[in-house]
Amino acid sequence: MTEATTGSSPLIAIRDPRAPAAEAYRTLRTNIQFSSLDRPLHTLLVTSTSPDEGKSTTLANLAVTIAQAEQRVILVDCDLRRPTLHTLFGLSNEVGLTNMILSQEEAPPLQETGVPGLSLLASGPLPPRPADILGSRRMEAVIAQLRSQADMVLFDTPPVIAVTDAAVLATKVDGTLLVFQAGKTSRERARQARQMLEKVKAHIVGVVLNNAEIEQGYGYYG
Amino acid sequence: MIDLHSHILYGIDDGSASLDESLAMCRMAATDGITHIVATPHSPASSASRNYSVDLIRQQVEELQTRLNEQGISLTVLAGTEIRYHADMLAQLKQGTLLSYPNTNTILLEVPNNALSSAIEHAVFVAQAAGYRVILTHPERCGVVQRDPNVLLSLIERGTLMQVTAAALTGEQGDLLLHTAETLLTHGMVHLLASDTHGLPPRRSPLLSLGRARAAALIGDAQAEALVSTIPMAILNNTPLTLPPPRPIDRSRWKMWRS
Repeated sequence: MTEATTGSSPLIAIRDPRAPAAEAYRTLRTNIQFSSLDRPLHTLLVTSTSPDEGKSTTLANLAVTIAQAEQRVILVDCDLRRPTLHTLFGLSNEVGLTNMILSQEEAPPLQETGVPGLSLLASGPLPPRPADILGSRRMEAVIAQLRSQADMVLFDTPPVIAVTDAAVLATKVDGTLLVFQAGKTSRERARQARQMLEKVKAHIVGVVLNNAEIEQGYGYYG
Repeated sequence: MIDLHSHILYGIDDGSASLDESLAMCRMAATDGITHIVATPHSPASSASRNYSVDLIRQQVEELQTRLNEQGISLTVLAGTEIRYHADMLAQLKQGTLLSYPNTNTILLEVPNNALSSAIEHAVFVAQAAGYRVILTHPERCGVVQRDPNVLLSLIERGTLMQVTAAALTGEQGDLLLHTAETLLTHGMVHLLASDTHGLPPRRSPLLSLGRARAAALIGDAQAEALVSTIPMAILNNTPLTLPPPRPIDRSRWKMWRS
């Protein structure tokens, strides 16, 4: 049993699929799918303005929620500075994306997460210059290959303002989702993040606002 | 104690010059309390290499082991390579012309003393992405480390092990190496002590006990023991290691000492 299926997991979508927060992820799933009806969205990048805005947890919960709708999902940890996705599923990051980029081998070293339909491509050993890896031609081939094996490929990246990694990768995927934290992310930084992504012509599909005050009065349905 | 870095084979590099010297080095190591020593000749990419071949390495290791057994000296000799980074490194490891530690995925990697930190990081990353655990030899000698020891932090956080030379810690290699080695040690940036022996005295000798004692005085006996026993044993057994995080060095104080 992985950590993800035990009670301590931060993945509410697994731990308690009936919780209001899990319902919020289902709403997010639906809205992402409907955000681009004219252009099918199969590769989605998630980033934030600074660390600790809940980016990776949001992404992992979203991935679980999409897999629960019987879609094949691959989560890719492209945060090659502080990778965390593997820890959310109690897995290792010793082998993953960077091995695949350097080795030219065809089969991606995917790990099962314990959630049917959801697999993880962990970071692998961390490179000295992550943006070089993410901006490489080989990375485009890797994305295409992962895409051929899944209905949805989700990419975690470092915060977009601190380093260029997310902006570099945003040009290679169908859409970008921003995660902000209520009461923490400033308007100025949110605007800056949007501008940096727009500059590279990224397709921003939307914003998730974490830790927002919940309106009272829906108890009956919760 | 276990010595993971030595030049006890003869005629292959700038280490031992004869079978007699090699045997005398092994006896000295055993007397010092070393139970396992890995012969790690310089790879051909190093200017210190003379006559490198894996067949010759294995043949000499066997020869030394037979002689030691005959003489009743309790020392296990193993074969390895001190690998100077170059572009064909991975291919040669795969072919077996460069050696990892026996039956492990750990390699002993040497980078030039004048390498930039980006070059060191690149070499380590390439090896790690191919599945190797990397031990970096004598970081205390690298110019970039002497200028700013904190360049090692990110490497260590990514699982790179740092091997400091015992003679640096005993002061035999001068004040700069002594101070650098001590500072790395007291900041959790050293994982292994090795002799890197090249011959009998006055050359760098196959001794670890003095370096171990110096380390014990600085970081305590248990941690000093880890550097010469627990950690090298885990490497030879190919078992995972959980190491305490390194602590950054105060750059302003370091610069003051260096100026």
